[in-house]
Amino acid sequence: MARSTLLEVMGRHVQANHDTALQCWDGQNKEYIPVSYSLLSQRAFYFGERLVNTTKADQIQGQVIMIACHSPYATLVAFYGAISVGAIPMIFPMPLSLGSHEALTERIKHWGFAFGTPAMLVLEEGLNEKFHSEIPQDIEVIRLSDDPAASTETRSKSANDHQPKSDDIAFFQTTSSSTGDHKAVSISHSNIISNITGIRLAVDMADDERMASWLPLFHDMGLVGAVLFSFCNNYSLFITTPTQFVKRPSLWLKTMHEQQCTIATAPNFGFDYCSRLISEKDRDAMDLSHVKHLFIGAEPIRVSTIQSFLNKFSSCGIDAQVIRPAYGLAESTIITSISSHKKPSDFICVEADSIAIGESIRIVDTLAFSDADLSRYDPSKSVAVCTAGKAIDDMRIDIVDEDGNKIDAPGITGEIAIQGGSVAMGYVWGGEQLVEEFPDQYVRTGDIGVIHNDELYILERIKNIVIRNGENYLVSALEEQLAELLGISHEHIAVFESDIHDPSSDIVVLVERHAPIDEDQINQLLVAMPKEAFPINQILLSRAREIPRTTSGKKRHFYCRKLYQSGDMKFQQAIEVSPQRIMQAQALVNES
Amino acid sequence: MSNQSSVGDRLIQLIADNTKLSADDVSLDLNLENSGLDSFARIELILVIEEAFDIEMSDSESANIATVADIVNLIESKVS
Repeated sequence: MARSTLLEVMGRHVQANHDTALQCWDGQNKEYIPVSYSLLSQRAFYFGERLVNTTKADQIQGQVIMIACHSPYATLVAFYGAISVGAIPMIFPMPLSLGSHEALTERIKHWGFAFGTPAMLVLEEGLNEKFHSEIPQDIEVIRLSDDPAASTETRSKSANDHQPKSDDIAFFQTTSSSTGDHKAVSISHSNIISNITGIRLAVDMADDERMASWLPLFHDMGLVGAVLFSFCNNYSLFITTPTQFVKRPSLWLKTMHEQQCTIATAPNFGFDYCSRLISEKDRDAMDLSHVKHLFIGAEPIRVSTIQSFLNKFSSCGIDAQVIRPAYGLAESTIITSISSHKKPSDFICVEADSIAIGESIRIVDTLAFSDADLSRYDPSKSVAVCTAGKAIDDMRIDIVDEDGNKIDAPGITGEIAIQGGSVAMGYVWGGEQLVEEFPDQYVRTGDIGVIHNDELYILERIKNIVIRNGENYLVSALEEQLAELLGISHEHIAVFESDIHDPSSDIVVLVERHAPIDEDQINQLLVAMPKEAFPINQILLSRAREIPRTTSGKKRHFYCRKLYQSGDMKFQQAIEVSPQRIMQAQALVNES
Repeated sequence: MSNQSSVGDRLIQLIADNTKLSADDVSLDLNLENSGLDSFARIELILVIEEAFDIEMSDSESANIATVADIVNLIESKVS
């Protein structure tokens, strides 16, 4: 499979008469609908023909196809249809994930005109007509049904006989779901095959695994980690949507129970959500003892989340041996490292003040999930950090200092740098240069970690994103929006999470060189705050140069967090930001 | 009309009871996309509404909701 492409993998399944590609959850009838490789392939080839016939470009090859669909089926028909004719699919989050229809429109307007040829847009039928009218006329729109039975039109081969090569672009992965971040990563067919092969080898999977997923396909964890992973390995895949999962998290685990699924993947909040919201009655009806691998990643992994999950579902047969913490990012297609299947994953408690680049980490304890009592540790002085395991096959992890020099000694904290076959082709910004390549397939990740006992531990984050409920918010975008509102330079604003290991911790804005403001000004500010800023919980106004910086003047967001946590951050005024407070502000502004 | 109004009143109270918004903050014109509720809270709200009115909203229908009035219209179309 090493030099294959996604189309060749699909073609082999069709030729071999492999039966079901995926089973899609039908929320109305409460059942899974099977979609065969043959049907998916024929519908995709037919959709490719529609793209060829619709494009106004000289050629379809290289044209970007923006996909905005709820259903996994429609998304995959458009995705494979684009690949089948040499176009480049790019899957967008839908309005409920982005926060609003406006945010999707903004994204379409940006990427639609980011390249030499306007991109085309695939919209699922039934999407708000009001929204459709806001799409610029220069962008060709193709409608696609979410119902596999809605159409009988098929094709058995590519509409233009396109044959992708393994090093060709397979798709563009957007790297942020919730802000005006206009950055994507270009992923090749070979990246996908390399990463999927590495994941399977790392945990020694069998030939007949079965997967359950609710992850969105605009996210690499849902597209590569679930769908393409199961396709490439010919595993059975039972798929629903994030909306269905949030409504009824028990559906995910019930599917594992009823369909005998052995593998599932989710970010930290998915496990947390199940622990909190699945009833004991539902839990007691499930047997999950056949589950072999529960991958957890994509956002900081919280030890207490894993412990709560194990406490709640151990009676169903889930034990610590199947929990597989992993580290990954879009720049490495999805997974960089995974914890071993040969022993239960562990975590370390480290002294919080020893987390600094170039410093030796002070480890208080190395513990197993099953027998650790976190209450023994003072959370203000120590941090519990989960293992992220070892690099998968064909990937290498280095720890580097702030200048990028490799730190060879184990136990020294530094930035994580990665290199290997899973490292993506490069960034996509739009403009004349389609892909800004990663030289030597090497990337500095912006995450801070340490190697301990040959395993990677993620300690901190210096890349500027904040994560809530699985959604990434680009700090620079939030800072620029706030700067505009406050009428000051974004250089004097720092947005940071108060604790990256706690998904419910506050998101704080530190504004330096800003005098205190009165109640009327606070209300005006809250009312004017853009929707994208809603994850913010607190705004701190400070007098002096309070934002820590590097010698070259760059903001050090993770040192902001340290100052905040230690109580050493100096500010003159704290402003609470919450939906309730914003509504109050709105009412007061309206009255006046 | 009176039926729609009673659905609206019930819905407004339901939103107030299940979100951080107060009943005074919620009107038929309120755009939920601008209400300060994140996507997670909005999906949870949709579930509460489905259970209260014994209806099922598809992902597309859920995504098409902007205002409280949109929900009232959707409920009306499903229960009539």
